[in-house]
Amino acid sequence: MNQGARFLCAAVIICFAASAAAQTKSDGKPISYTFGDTYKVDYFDNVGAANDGKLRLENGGTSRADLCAAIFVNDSVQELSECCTCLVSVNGLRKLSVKNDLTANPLTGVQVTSGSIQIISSAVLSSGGCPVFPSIIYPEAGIRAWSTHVQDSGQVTEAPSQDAILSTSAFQYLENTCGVIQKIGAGHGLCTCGSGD
Amino acid sequence: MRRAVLSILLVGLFVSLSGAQSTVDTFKVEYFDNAQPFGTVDGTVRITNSGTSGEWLCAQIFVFDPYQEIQECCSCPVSWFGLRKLSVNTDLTSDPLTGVQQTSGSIEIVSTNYDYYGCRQLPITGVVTPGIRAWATHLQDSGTLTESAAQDVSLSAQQLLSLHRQCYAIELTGSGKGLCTCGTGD
Repeated sequence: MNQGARFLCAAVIICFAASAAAQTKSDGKPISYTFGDTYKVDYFDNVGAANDGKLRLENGGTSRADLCAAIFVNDSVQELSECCTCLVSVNGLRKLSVKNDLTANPLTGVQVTSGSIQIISSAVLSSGGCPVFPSIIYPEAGIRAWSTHVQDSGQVTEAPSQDAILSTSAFQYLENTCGVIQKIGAGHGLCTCGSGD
Repeated sequence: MRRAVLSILLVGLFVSLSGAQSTVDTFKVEYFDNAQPFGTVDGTVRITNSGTSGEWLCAQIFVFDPYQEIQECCSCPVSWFGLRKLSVNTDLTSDPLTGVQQTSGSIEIVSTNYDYYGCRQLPITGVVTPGIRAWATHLQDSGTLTESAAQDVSLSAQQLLSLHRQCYAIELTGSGKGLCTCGTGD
């Protein structure tokens, strides 16, 4: 390899290293790039109708550890309304009500009747348990989710939450926006975790 | 010299592979059945943007009858984590190209970029960009409503071109017919 090629390789390596080093969180820990199998998306609709939608979460045991389901509830025009983090034990099942757990405490006080739900499967804190707000989380694979949906006719249907690629930009956006809710919400915008674990 | 040629070939291979991978996670297929005039309950297609690409997206929608004839097409913006809701009866099958309303068929959705001008009304071009997720409720023959997630399919360049060309034909000849609408939400 000649000197020019060596210089080019070194420059590329330095650039990658600098880029990785720059990606750290506010607690100083690096952002994890193991984002595979950590992100699910779902939706809800017709909140306030007679029937209630349910979100069920299960820990498939991929990581052989308890996990935190970081949940972000957006209205239909991409405004984050609520967020929270819920413990899901290995092979456990957690059941959340769309009406009571995910949309009952919106940031603005205005009830959201339809929107999208993002779930990031993440690691428990080193002290055990999950942070109240998912404003600093570390993705770790294993969460599976299903959701029942109340249709306009009143009928209830169900589908598994869909897998999606968790990009760094989406991850940071969700974390940061929930961080804003944590700072200015005065308790509003915090969803609850339903029953089970 | 050999190393230089090899480097160029490797870069070319990388670029071509990158281009090939750009169509992954960009194409969803669904179906509808018992739509108007028979349906008493309406089917619904819901579309969200998972945020994978870090930008707004255009959901390019192509509605076909069961004999692979395109009936309607349109392009709908979907914001980050937004939710768009379309009615099968009202938005996807009420303005067929031929004037003959379809009761069943397939729905194909291509996830593309949202450029400076937003989404074109008719999807005849666009850069495929991953991130769209969709669900559809289906009205069964029994009257029961079921639901499934739209299925992921690999999108070839030829197929994308074919979809765009068919929609372009609607633009040229439809005189306003064959244009689906985008429902509510964003």
